[in-house]
Amino acid sequence: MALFTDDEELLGLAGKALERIRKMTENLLEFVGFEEPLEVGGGG
Amino acid sequence: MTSKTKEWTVIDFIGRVSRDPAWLEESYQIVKDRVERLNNSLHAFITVFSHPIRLKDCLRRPLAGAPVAVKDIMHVEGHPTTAGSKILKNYVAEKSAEVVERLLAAGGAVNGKTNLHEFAFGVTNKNPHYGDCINPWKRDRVSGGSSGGSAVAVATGMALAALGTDTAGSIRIPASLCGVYGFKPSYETISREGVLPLSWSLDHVGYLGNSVRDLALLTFLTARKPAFRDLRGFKAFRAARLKGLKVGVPKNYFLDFVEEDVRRNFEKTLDLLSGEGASLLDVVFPRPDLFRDCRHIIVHSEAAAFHLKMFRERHRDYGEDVRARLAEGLAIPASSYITALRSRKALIREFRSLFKNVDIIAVPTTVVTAPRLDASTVEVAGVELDVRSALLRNTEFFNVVGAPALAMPNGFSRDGLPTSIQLVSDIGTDWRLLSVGARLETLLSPSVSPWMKATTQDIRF
Repeated sequence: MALFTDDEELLGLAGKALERIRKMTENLLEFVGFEEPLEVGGGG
Repeated sequence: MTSKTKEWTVIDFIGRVSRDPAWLEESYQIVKDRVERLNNSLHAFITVFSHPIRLKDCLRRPLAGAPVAVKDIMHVEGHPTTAGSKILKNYVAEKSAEVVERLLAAGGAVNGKTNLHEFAFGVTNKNPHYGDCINPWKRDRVSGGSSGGSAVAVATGMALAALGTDTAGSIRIPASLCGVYGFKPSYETISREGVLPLSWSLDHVGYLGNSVRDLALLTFLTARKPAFRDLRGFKAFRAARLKGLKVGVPKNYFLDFVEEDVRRNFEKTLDLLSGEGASLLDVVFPRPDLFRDCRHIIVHSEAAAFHLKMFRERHRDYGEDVRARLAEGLAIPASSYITALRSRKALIREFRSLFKNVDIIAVPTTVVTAPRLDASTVEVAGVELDVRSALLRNTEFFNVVGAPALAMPNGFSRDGLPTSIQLVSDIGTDWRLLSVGARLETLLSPSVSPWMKATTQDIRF
């Protein structure tokens, strides 16, 4: 886990969020096309 | 204030000053008195300037010295930028933000730095370091955030207009809860240089004010994008005819959970549009859950990256809620972040496809009126939502796509809290959106905030 900390409180907070992030990522993975490129920068 | 209400829009202020230059200093004194009287209880400002910062010849410039407040996440040279945090309490800006420089060059005057949710990472504007920003309509309610201080300053006449930032709704949410106008232009219309970031990809700079015309003028005068600064565009700006306008009303998600009074006022506003000849058309928003997930991952990842060094060294100096959000951001894998960025491009295409059939989209800005300060959840249509999710529900999409979005007060709930409608148009069609808003504004109310209009005596708390 790329946390950059050993602080137990932060690790605990992050751990609680992991399942939520995993679900969100899976939702997006189902949607995004295999060949959709990465373009950085904001807005449209 | 009572007899001078009309001067409390920027445009009317400019007219008044041109006729009566002495009004400039008189107005500053009125604003100053108001700040002295109200700020201790409402916590709208973190820093108040003893006299507004302005150029000596501001009277000869377009804004004629109009007092505008600046969210305390933007630099004003020689003054603190706290970002609403304990960590940056003593940080003094060496150079003003580009938008502040443009504001001053246009003849604006900056009278102070407004309160915000710590580092703009929250939507209630409950702030453990500088005091919770209080809703002027009911003192047991939140102002909304993160630009809550800006909204309260404008609503109560402590400034004529105010700068804000909006990453998921932070201009429009407090505008909605405090009964003022808020405009988030298309992405990067106004420069983010000299503005501390929450999320580089989704941060937008914009204004809160007492009329759509004020928001249009201020955006025109301080925009970075050449397309927006085209004088022909501004000269052509006028209240649009609504006959033939195609207004998309989402059939899904945005209206699923809406407080009864918010829904009633929204439907009344749609009737006004319809009465002017606009067509109301159903639209179906493609996969709204994905917009929400995409926004969440991008904001949390980028915020964690920006805060990484400060957070490792001083995480106990952050407020509890922001600390938890940043910790979550640190845990997000790069692969999730990149997936969200790739998805966003596809989501933008889907969003833009809606405008093949409609000119604008209308939704309630927030699905609830201002929640209580001590509430962690709100009940809407029999469903309990956490306050954060309820407030973000109808705004966060439009940061993901970078489209212009305008929040307009459209009435009150039965218990006297403001409600708001949000109009959204395609990316880069800001003038069109503002023109529609300017017309709708004339149908909804005179060009002053309903709070001002309702005030027949000076403010009493």
